[in-house]
Amino acid sequence: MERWLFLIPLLPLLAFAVNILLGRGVIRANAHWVAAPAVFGSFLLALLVLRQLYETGEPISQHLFTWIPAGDFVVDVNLYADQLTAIMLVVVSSVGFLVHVYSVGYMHGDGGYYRFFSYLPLFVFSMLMLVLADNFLLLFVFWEGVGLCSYLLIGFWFKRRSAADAAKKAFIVNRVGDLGFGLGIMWIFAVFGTISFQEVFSAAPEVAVGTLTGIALLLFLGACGKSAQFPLHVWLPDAMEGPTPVSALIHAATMVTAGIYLVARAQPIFELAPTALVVVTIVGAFTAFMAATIGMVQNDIKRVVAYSTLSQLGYMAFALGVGAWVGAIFHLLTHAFFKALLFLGSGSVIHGMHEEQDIRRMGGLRKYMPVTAGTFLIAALANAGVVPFAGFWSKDEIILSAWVSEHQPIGQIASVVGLVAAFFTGLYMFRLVFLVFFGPERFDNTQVHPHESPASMSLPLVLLAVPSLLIGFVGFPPEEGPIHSFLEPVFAHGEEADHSEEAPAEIASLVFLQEEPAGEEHEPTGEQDAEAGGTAVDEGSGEEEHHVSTATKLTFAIISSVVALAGIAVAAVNYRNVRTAEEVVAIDQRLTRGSYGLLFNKWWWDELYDRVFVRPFRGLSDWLWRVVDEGIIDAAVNGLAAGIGGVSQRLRHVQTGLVANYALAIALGMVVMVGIYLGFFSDLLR
Amino acid sequence: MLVDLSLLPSPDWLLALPQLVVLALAIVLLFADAFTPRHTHSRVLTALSLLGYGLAAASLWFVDGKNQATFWWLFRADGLSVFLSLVILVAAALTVASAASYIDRLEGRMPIGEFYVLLAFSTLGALFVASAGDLVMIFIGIELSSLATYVLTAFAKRRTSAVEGAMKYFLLGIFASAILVYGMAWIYGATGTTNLDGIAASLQTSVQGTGFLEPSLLFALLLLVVGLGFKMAAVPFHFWTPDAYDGAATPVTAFMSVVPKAAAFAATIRILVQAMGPMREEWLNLIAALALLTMAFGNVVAISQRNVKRMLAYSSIAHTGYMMVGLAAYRTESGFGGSAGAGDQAVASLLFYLFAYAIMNIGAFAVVAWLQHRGRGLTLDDFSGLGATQPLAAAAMTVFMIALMGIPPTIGFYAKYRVILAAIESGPVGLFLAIAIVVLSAVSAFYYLRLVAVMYFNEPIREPRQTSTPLLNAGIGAMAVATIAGGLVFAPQIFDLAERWYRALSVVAQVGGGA
Repeated sequence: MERWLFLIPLLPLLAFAVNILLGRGVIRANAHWVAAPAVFGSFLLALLVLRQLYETGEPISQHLFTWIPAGDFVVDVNLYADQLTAIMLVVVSSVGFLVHVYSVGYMHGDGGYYRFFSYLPLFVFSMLMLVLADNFLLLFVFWEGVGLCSYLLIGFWFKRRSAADAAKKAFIVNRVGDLGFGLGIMWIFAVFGTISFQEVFSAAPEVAVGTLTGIALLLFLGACGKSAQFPLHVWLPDAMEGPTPVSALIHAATMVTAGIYLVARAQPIFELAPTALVVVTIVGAFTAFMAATIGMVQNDIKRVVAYSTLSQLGYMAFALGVGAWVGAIFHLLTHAFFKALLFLGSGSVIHGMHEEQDIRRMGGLRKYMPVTAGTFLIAALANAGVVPFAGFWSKDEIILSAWVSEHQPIGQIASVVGLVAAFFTGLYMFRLVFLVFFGPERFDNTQVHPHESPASMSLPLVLLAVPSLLIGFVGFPPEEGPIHSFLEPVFAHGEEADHSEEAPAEIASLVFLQEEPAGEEHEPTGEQDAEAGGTAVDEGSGEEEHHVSTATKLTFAIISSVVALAGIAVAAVNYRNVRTAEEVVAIDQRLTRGSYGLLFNKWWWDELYDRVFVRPFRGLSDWLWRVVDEGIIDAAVNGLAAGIGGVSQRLRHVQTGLVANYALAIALGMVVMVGIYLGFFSDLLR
Repeated sequence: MLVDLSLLPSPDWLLALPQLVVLALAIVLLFADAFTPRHTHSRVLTALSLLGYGLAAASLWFVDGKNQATFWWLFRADGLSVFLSLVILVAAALTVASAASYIDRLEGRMPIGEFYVLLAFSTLGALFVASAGDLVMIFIGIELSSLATYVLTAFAKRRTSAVEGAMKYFLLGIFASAILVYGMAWIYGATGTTNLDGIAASLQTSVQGTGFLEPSLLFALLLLVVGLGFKMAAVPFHFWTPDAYDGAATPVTAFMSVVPKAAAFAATIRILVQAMGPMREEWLNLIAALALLTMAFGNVVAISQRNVKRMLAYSSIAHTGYMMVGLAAYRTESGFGGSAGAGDQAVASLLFYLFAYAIMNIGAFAVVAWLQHRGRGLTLDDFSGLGATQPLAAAAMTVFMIALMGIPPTIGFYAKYRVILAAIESGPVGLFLAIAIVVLSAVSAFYYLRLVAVMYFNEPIREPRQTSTPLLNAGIGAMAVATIAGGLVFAPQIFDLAERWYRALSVVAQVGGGA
């Protein structure tokens, strides 16, 4: 594979080139025959990479060319595939391929069909290059590349104002994060003199902790933008304006996990910057909690799933923060499949309901679209974290790892928050399931005739349901599954350092004593938390904290299952049998009590940002435009131009057309030159 | 430095092969003009011309790398002459491609045979200057080239503006020639030789020995700069340019904006760098001042021109200024007989600029000629809506305008880049000139882009006349492609070729040793 690694990103790039050049005139409605096989080819090659890494364990790298040779600043375009990259490659290409297949049905007859099948492989190319990059700058280039594709695809139906606005919002919010990322890369180059991953990471231990913390926080700001973590999360729900396959691929399975990937990739830096890890944990846990609460009261099927994505990304972020690197990637892997399935299922519902997205006007759809309903249910169970579905294993591991991690007290707070959010996850996921697929029909079935989607759409659903159901077992038994041993070489470096650093158990137990009253969260499982915590600490003091006893694992498995099932039960009791749209809102309000307004308005973040950032900036821009730009800069430029124009008009009259004048000018020029020379440069007259 | 001619070897005719080929071409054309049947007349002569210039260019291969002087140091075949000859021959061939149908069909069917013969003689004169090793040779070459060009300027003789422009060009031209030859006479008086290397050796001795230069040498220098400044159209000796360019038939304008200018720069490099290099401290600031004046004046006045040919005339004055910056950057010690020094880069940047300028400027004039074939005039308004009615011509013109402006990825950008680089490396005056180039390029963007804007954003004014000009089309296409490909791919190779000019100086060492 060393020689053929470049083919993985090249195939989708070629597909993009062919479709964008020939799509409009020649290929038209056959564009998917170019794009889908190319991505499938990448998928097969990614599997080969995965197999080779599984067998040899040796990272694969390929030097393509030197991009920027500028003195000390040398940027090579190298492809580098280790175990982490291999997993990302498989996720991106497999989900990418299924989304391509699904889009054949979903985008059928759209005016921009070829355009869609140009952008989609371009995205896959950029994403594959992002995970294959072996230095920060190359990663950043394709980080921007996926951002561009996201912008193009959110605004795919650019004639719709809301879609164009959402695309701009996504792009602008990401600018904030990218600014941080860019500064981080510059700082890295300033400190290390290189931007290559391997060189930076091996030199990292010699750099001051303060510097590393600064770098890590800047990188994480970038990750926040891309992975939609608080406070830069506001763009992702709006991004649902794009076509649903795009939401599934970009805004659920792959691009939004790029931030998680970045932090995982920069693990050696983050490991050495504990303060940054605390920030990552807090941001992640807060996002997980906040998004889950918002998800409970939204009425747009895609927005519910979008907030679920935010919440699950929050889980991954705090897993990174507490040092559960493998857990985060594991959750990334399972989440990619079940969340893509949820989105594609939503798309199928929307398609079958003639573009209806409001779940208050759905209900009882399982008898019209059995395949969609069945696969959606599997994905919902996986998302809610019910045994033995994929999401259970990864989420459980994150919560457990957070509880027993050496980063305390923050780890246990995050763990509890995670459990609370897990309850809400079960609740909003099954509120959705019950309102859409069960109960009485709340739509006018003389007007709307729900139907199952065509095979090209339902087949990917079935194919995604399989990993949603089974992929969790790569992480079984918890902490010791195949994925853990597979990924171990990637994160080994940092973890060893941790073990030798301190005695985490003591700190953990100290912290735990202070922590105990915090179990009072409005949660039925509070006491079990405390119990489980006690067990964990007992076990942890005996041996290294990553080898948690089976009892602890079992306890946590039971707690998370109970929490998730409790959420599902609440949903079942309240939403199983809702007759009218108004009743949905009434139940929402009853369940959330006084906080309905806050949750329904998404915690008012958009309004807050509007007041604090958008309006003052608009005022400032207005001032810059009218006073600085038009008044000073334009006036100066226009004045200068007018001045030159005036001079030009004057000077052209020098050209009199009379030969005598011309000859005089030559003679005068000569006399002046001679005069100046004699006067200033020659010794003749001195 | 008196030389006993009988001790010298007999002339090596092979070294003068390009010149001999062009001379043969002129003679063959004279006969062919008389003896070809009427219906194939134009085609045969065109083909002969193209073949002749092609053969001459190919024969450069024999000369390349020889670095020898022959005909008793009157004639030199060195890196400088090879590169300049290449520029001149390419320009001549491109002129033939743009001129064939124009001369044949427009402005009342001009006699094409005479046209080609005059073109060949003018080219031959320029080639002699490029290979000259002696002041006399330079003067003869310039006069041969100029006399033919005067006649070419008046070639559209039914139009009074053509005759008027030619008359002005001729009167001022002989005035300038007189000044030039007067300067040469002073040089001869001061150094006792007209041989370039002999002058250099003599000056070197005075500069190294006493550090004192005869004031008469300064006077000679000033006279030479005036004479050469006229030929290359430097301000304030440029006045003939707009009138002559505007009056001449468009392909002639294309020719005279490149080949006589190349000859003038060839003479300037031969005289100032090669012969008067030892006293360069005296002329560098003078050239720098003239360069600044020239590019400022050319660019500023070009803005108020509404006639495209006049606009391009002022633009060519501005480009003269850019090229003179390359000459003014010849500040550092050059690598004598060995590796290239920074000063060599400066002259190489001038040479490369000349090459780039030849392609893009002839290209621009060729598009103007192309439009004249189709019944359009020469004002800006005649370019209205060209992008809609004739998209390919508009695209080609846009390429040339962007190249003249100096924007990547065209060859014009690379040329300007090398000149600016050489200028910056040459010191504070060079840095000032580099800034001036950048600022004035911004000024030039106004009139170049105005033409592009008129082509694409204005409504078409009238339906074009349909006509077929295959050779002209091919020529414009080739030049547009070369403009872009040159900038993207070939620029470094061509620059390498230009950089080999310094071997011209390595012959000096031989002469110095032999004398």
